[in-house]
Amino acid sequence: MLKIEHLTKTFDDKTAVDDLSLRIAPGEVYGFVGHNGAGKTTTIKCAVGIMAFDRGKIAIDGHSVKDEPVACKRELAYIPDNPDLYDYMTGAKYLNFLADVFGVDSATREAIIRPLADKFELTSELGQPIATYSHGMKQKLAIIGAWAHSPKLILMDEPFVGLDPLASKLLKDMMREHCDKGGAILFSTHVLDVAEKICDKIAIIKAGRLLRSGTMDEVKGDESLEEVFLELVESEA
Amino acid sequence: MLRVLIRKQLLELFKSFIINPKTGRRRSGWGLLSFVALLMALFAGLGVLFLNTTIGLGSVMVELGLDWLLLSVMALVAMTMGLFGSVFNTFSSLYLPKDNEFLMSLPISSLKLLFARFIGVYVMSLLYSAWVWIPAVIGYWTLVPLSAASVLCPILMTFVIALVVSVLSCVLGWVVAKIASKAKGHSLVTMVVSLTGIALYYVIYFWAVEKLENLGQNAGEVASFMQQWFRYVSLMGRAAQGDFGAFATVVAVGVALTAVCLWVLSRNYGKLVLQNAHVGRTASKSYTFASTDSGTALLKREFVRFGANPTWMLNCALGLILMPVGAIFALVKAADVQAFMAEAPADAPVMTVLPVVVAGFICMLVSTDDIAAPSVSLEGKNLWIVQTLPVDMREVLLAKERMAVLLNVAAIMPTTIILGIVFGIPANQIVMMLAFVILFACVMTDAALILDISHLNLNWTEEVAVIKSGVSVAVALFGGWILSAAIVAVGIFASPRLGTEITLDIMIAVLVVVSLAMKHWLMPRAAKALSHAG
Repeated sequence: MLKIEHLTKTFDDKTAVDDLSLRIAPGEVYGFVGHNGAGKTTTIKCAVGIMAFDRGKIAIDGHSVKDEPVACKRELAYIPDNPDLYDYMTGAKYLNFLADVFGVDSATREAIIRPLADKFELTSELGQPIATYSHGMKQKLAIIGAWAHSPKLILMDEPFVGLDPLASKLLKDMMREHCDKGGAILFSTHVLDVAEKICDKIAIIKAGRLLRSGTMDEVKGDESLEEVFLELVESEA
Repeated sequence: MLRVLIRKQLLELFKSFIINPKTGRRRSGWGLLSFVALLMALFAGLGVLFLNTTIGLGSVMVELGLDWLLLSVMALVAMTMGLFGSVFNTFSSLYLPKDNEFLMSLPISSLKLLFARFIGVYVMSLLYSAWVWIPAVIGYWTLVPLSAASVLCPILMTFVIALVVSVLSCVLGWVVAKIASKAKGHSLVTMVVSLTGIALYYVIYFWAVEKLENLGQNAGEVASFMQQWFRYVSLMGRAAQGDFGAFATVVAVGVALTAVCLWVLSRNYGKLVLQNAHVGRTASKSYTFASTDSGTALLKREFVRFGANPTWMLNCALGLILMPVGAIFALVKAADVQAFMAEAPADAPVMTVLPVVVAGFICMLVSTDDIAAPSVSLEGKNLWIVQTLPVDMREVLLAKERMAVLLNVAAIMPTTIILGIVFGIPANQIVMMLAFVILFACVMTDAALILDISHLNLNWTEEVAVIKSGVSVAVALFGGWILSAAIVAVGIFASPRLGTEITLDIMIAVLVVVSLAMKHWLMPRAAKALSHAG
């Protein structure tokens, strides 16, 4: 579903991502962990197609991000670390806008959006301007927006930040359900417990370089993810 | 603390001048120099107009010993221009910056914060009022023998005029903030109130101008009128002439007005900032999930964001109001115009050049509609949304272009037709004028979008930074005016030689070529750059 090969991205003289390769197959929840500034957000942005990169190849469902950006975007949804949404729209108008551009018909959007809004307890707020929403409510709206067009691949940057425990649980369930239906998810997180619980595969990154990746068992063996992460990060220091 | 705040304020205002938005680094010396030179050239182009006005008016007045009256009239014009330039953004720059809440959480008094914001307003007022005042002073110097007082006093008056403009501007900004806080985020109410305030100001201004015109050549009457109705302005004239007593009074009053204004405004500044920062909840509205195509959705989004931003509407869509106002004015004065036209022989040159000149005039008004110029930068931190949509960035830009052009066409059509009829222009030439002006609007819109992308500023804390002092806005506005003047000049030169229709045909063809070049060569490149910006 997502194939990243030898991705390299530099900002002036700083290498943010260094020869990074990843493969995410349908049905996989893939966790991306690393400390602040490790290159997680840069990698995700390059994969989404909103950041140009220096070297390497990225393909989504067989389409090159560089050569066929629109075809790639049709198959993916992205949730940034800070959900800056259109404050001048109501929640419903924002979701309608996304659904319109992704070509989701009225019946499908009713069938997807309404139940999700109910689950996130956002239904009564959808008629309000987004400017009145809290950070958590904006995050919930961004999640509903991402799921609204049934993407094959969802890329999320720190999706659990700002969510209440109920919404966090709901998101984890949604992620699992999405992948069980054949979708794929790549998400970055600092919360190693969450990664350990819901990820099928995991990648640990430091200073733009991939330290280790694979299934949860391959990466951590008998240790906890936290122990492995700290060992890897410290040994590379 | 205050120094730090003022530095931050000025840096935000001039960030795009100093820092290259693409690299995030300081511009090179040459880059900055060439940029300043370009702006100076734009300013100088229109400054010549005020220079000529001063010399024209002043030659009689100075002879009669009424130097102060000449300087008073020009001070009044400078204040009008200064207010015109700063008033629309005062509300936004005082009460809506994104870092207001953050700064208010720091141990900074409201008065200090307000003062730092006020400096930003002052600088904008200074730029706009100096645009009139400096050429006027240069014109004045050509008419009088130079002395220390006649050189120094007018220069110092530049700063006093800007001070008075800033105070007037802040008072109006405060009124708008009060009303906006009650209107609970209804931007249309804010815009209507702002426009009403401005309209009131200009009613008074035009009343004064009409009075002055009615007084005709009787300079004595003009002088007594100024002293009776514009006592402070007439003192400004005397101060600029070198009357130190008047100068001290003008400065004292200006400083006192500023102090009172800041003190009064600071008393409920925090409250108004917080009220305006938070959009009020509205009565729960029902919603449906009706679908439309992506092009319409993108266009609708453009209209919604434009309609939700009073600062953008007020600063960048003035032509939408000025065009119908111009048409109504022409209708009101239709009898006078037609009487004048009837006197001209059918083969007189005026009839040949008129269509191009009128079209050039409408183009000038169209240039004040620089809606597209800050459009991309205003996406700010929301840009990721359109970047991740499954549409080519050209479609996003097309939606921006369509909105600006549609709004312009709605104003261009009646204005051109009415002006054409009033001036007795044949129907086929009116159609050509329409085609020409609409093409001009398209080219200007595309140029503004390309300029905005090439000088993109997404990390603003005050939207005024991109709406008012953005590079794309300045170049689109002043460049549009210069182009309009060039169109008039070409019309006057070419129409009598080639004939009206051939001239219009050639000008339309040139615009078609430019428009096609932009669409097929520059726009795809700009769209590609935008897809990875941010």
